[in-house]
Amino acid sequence: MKKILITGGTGFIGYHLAKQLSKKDNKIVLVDNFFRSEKDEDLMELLKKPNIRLIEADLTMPESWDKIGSGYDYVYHLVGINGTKLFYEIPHEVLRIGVTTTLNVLDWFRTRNNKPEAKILYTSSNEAYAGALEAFGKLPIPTPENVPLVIADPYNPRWSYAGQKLIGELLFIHYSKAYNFRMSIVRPHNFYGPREGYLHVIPEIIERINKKVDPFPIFGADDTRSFCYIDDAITAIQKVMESDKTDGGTYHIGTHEETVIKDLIEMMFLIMKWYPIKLDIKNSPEGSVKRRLADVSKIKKEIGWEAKIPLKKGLEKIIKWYLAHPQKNSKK
Amino acid sequence: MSKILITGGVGFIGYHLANKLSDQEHEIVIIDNFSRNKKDSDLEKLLSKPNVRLIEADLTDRKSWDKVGKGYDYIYHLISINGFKFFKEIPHEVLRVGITTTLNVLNWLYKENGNPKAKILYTSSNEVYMGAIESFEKLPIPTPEKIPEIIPDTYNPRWSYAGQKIINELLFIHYSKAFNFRMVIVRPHNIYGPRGGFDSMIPKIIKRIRDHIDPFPLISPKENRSSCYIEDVINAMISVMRSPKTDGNTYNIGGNEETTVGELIEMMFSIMKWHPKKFDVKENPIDSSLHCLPDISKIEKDTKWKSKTSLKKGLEKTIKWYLSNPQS
Repeated sequence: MKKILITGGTGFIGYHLAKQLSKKDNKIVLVDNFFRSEKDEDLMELLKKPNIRLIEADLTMPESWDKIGSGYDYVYHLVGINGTKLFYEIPHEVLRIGVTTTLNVLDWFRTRNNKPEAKILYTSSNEAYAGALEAFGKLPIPTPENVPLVIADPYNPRWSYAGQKLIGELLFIHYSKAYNFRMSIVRPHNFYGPREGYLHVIPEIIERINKKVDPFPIFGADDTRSFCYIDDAITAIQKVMESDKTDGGTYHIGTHEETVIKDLIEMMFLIMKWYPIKLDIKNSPEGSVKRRLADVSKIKKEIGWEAKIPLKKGLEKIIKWYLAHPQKNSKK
Repeated sequence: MSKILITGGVGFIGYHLANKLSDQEHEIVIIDNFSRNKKDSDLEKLLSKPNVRLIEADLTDRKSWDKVGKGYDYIYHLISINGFKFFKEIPHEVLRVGITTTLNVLNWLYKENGNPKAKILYTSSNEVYMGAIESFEKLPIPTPEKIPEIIPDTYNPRWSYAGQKIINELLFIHYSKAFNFRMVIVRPHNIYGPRGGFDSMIPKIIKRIRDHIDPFPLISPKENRSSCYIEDVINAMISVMRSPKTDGNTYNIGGNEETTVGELIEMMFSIMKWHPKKFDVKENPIDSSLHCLPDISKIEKDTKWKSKTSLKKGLEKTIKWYLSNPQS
């Protein structure tokens, strides 16, 4: 039995991770302040499990850490204000929350968790390096872990999320060396699945198809992404945490399958059995990244993980969930 | 008369800034925890002025801010752990001190200072963009303010200083917009002058000339460089702070007299009246900051500031100080 802490535990990754980990005889503590996530049915169902406990706390406040306790074996630090819309609207909060929770979790982990063999995992993001493309028009595709991290323009709020991830990585790396604790960093690449919120690309498309929007807008039609289904992603995150080969390392998590946005949408039309009369092809929004494909050979080589769920199957699952859970007058 | 706060106020820039501002009848509070600086005779002299007050406090600790008070008009946020040696030896401290003091000063400014007209200045660094050379072999020379910021390798502690400067620029920019306070960011380049520490290029050369090192090490002598004398840097910072036109912007500060490294050293030989018989020429390690040459047209356009001290004059003053204040 392991004692496990998940910060930002009620969000997209946190929820699915907790669900998976709770199937084993683990003791799981989720911490969240419900800044973005909600106490929806799925979460309430999860919280009924006897081995999961929720602590409602704002982890930017040092006092909150008194409630967390100690003796955790694994700490997943997932807090982060994701969603491009929020980067533009509240960049100061994206920065503040990302930076202060990371400083706080590291301080708590090294001074108060009292378990020298414990390990902490940080979820960074492909955003941390994405700026290289805008700034230098140069990014190896597929992209390996050891690329430079770039803020293309500090004045563009678009890069607030990237900024806090960049510094989060540096803090994890240099604190773990100085204070000699175990850690790994992962960079998720386009995870998708049920309960990922309503502001991301796939849920937005589902909603538009469901509403039969015609002409149908396709933003960044020729952009490519590599979509990784959440169940695959969770397995990868858990494996990185539980292996000691990964200590100190940074790993890309994603699929090597590259999908053109237009093809993605065509596939979704097919699954949802509706097709618009006219397509309204639009250019990518400012600051968006044309092509994104992670080099995932390092994680495969070191711990044998690779994505297994085909895009079509993942899309069927996510579509089913979103059709059963249309957006209410939700928070952000 | 203005009430002025200088964080990291006993370091190289802070000392000279406080010295200059204290001659102008302002009320000056300087805060430092003396992690790297000593209470030398220059500092004692500064602190004896009636309008200068020192608070010894660790500004990474939130409680320290209770001692700072409020109602300041101008805040110069200078704190950081500079020096390549520190980046490599204590990157975690370089990161922690830089980031937490910045979060704290901003939090204090918009919640506690209680002066909506107050303005805060952040001293960033050319380090934020220098990684472009290593990562992309590409940097416009002279380098303008609008330039991507880069960490070439997250695992190399050498970039810890750059990392905290990058995140602090972002914090200043996006907090000032969200909470509607006045701020400006400066990136000083190649500052030199009295009491500038012993780890940068000019103090090292002075020591080698004084010690008559022969053959004399010469690193990348053909590379162009423009150093900026500390007094000019201070004047630039004060100009940028005082001008409402600069609000919300980022400015390079640097010299306008370009020389090659070789010419600079020859000038120093002639001031110090000694010349080696032989040179030991080395190429520049990619790791150093020697390449940088800022474009300073933006600050010259938006303020009346100009770099006034000739290189020869600045070197004379600097050499004089270092010869009478050798490293202990």
